[in-house]
Amino acid sequence: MEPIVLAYIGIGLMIGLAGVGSAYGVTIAGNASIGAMKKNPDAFGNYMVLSALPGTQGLYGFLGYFLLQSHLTPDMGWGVAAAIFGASLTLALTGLLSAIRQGQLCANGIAGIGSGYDVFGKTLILAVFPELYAIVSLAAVFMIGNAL
Amino acid sequence: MIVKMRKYSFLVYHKTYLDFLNKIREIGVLHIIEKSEGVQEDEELTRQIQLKTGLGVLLKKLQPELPKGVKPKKTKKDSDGKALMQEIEEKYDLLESQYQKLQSAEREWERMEVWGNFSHERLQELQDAGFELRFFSCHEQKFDQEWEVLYNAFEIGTVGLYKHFVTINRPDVVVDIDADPIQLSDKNASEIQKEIASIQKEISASKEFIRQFAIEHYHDLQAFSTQVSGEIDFSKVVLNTTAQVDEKVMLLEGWCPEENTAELEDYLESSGVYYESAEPLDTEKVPVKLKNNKFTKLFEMIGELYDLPNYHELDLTPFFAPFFLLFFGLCVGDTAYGLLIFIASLILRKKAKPSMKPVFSLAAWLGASTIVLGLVTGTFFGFSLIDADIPWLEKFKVFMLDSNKLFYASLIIGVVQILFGMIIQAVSKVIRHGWAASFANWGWLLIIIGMGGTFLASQVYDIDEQIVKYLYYGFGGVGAIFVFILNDVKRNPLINVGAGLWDAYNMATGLLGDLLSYIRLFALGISSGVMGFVFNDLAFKLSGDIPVVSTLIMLVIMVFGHGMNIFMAGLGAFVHPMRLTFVEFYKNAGFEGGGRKYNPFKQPEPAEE
Repeated sequence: MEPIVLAYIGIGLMIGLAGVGSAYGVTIAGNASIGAMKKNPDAFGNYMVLSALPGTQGLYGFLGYFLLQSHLTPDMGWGVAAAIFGASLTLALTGLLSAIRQGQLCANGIAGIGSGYDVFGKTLILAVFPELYAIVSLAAVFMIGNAL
Repeated sequence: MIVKMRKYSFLVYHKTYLDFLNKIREIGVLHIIEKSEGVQEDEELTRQIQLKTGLGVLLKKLQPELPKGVKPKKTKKDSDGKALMQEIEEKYDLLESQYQKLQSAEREWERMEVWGNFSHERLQELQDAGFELRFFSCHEQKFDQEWEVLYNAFEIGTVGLYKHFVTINRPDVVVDIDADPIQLSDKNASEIQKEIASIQKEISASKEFIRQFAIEHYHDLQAFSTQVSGEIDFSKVVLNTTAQVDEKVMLLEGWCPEENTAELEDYLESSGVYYESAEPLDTEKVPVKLKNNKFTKLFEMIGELYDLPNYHELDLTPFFAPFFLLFFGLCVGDTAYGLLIFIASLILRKKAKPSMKPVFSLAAWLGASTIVLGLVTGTFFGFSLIDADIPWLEKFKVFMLDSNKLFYASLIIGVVQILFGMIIQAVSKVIRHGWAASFANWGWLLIIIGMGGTFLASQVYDIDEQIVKYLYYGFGGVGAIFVFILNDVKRNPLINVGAGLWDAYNMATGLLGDLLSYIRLFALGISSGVMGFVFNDLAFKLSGDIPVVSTLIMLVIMVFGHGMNIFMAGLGAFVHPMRLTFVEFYKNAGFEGGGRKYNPFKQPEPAEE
């Protein structure tokens, strides 16, 4: 196996899993919005904002590829390939799971707003916490890319 | 900034109370203090609220009836809202019953269609002549040919899989067959048809009436709804009044902005009502009215999405507004998109209702910011300007940031906003509680800015090692004294040290997380630029070589791709800076929130026509 195969497997996982995570996250939140609109249709702006929040992990995955692409040459060494695989794997896993969980968190917030509780701001704050780890992974990808 | 308020308490003789309230409503500056235990709705208020809800439902039903392009007539002065409401509701009920009649007539027709046009008189004649006709239907597989012989069954027709037939027998013959007997209705098929036609005519007449009514009276009903709202407000104020001295004297309390107190006091002096006015206490919940310059005012609606500041703290809108502008521009990160947003918002603003104009003004500002920051990130409609070979752009390239520089730039912006927030918190504490309360904040600022600044200076300039070491000790030491010992001057210093350690832990984890959050500006900005580039690439590569068709395909892909990209980038660029403001900035600026909006008791505003 050539080193570049390992590197691209990593890249594929990174973009794919982070994207899947975001897709799940925004869908979970979107489903909650539809339910909440039956009870409180006026707060759609709030629902839209909260549903959009889990969408960033997919972008981070895409961005990670962008940050690492300069190192993806056919004659790359095993060290470089391993670094890229490692970096991609971190962002893939954190992106996937943090997005899904963040979506569930936002869905609970949306359900609360739909029931008439004024929890928009506080949900926004709580939704930050899962995303922190995806951002840390992105920073790690950036730094690994720079170190190569 | 938050407008200063004064508290007014009135004691009014009960006989003049309603006049007093009417006059207060006319002046329209008093925010009534509601009873803390809440207000029990009395019959009148319940009736009014029900009326308002009913009107709301009715207006929603009438809205789609207005034909396109026809403007409803303006409000008439002396329209009787209640009578109009009754009239149209009766019409709706009539329409409902007409629909039901139509439904049952249509069902009858389906039943009777197969029997065709017969006459009941003939059937009666046959009956009188001694022939009993019975009508049946059964599944065609169940139809027994024997019945044609035994009971003189004649097939009339088949509907779907069901045969419909008639048996003709003497009255005394028992027709016991495995088929469903049919009871004929009074009318035959063509009579039912006529009936259906006439009901449909009635229905169109009713609908036309409703349509005309909507054009004539839609605004009248809206005006009536506004009037009822006013009555509800009035009732609520009356219910919030405390009756004293055997219900002879009414006590009412409210808040008035300082800029309007002259107006209010003129009336009070002239009317001879007994009143007292006072400054709000530190512990009171005072309604919040924001006052800002034209630029900052546009951002108040963003702040309201989260929470209003409470009366006693600082209004952070003028502080977050420029940052929000910057963040939005960075997150969209494309000059061409910025141009589109800017032009679109200006066009829409011209056609917009007055209440929507500020929204489009804000959008225009955000678009303008995107134009500038798109140039900084060097992206135009997905094309990278940094890589482009345009001669007159060379001297601008010095301002453009590539992705590496953008990463650090967003972190630096984060540092700036966080430190700015911390300074605001420190200054705000000094103003509200005095210098002693703010020591911990200043301590942290000394540590971060002092030691951080020293570090940066030592990297950039050539400073003597010893001096750098002393600077570190100096800033670190003095800062530490403030954080660990002087953080609460009234408390035991040992407890202060413990509290300081806890504070240090929160600072370390909190600040790192907050700072890293700003990476999203870089992430969103680059990704929307790259998506634009990808769509351009797709458009060129997929369009092929056919002369006219390929340009068309290219344009379709570009319009679809960039359209979607603008929408997603715009949404992200609105949501994430908002989040950075409300979470990272507000937290570091010590925002408490919980303010209630200033809502004076005044004449209700008529709906926009």
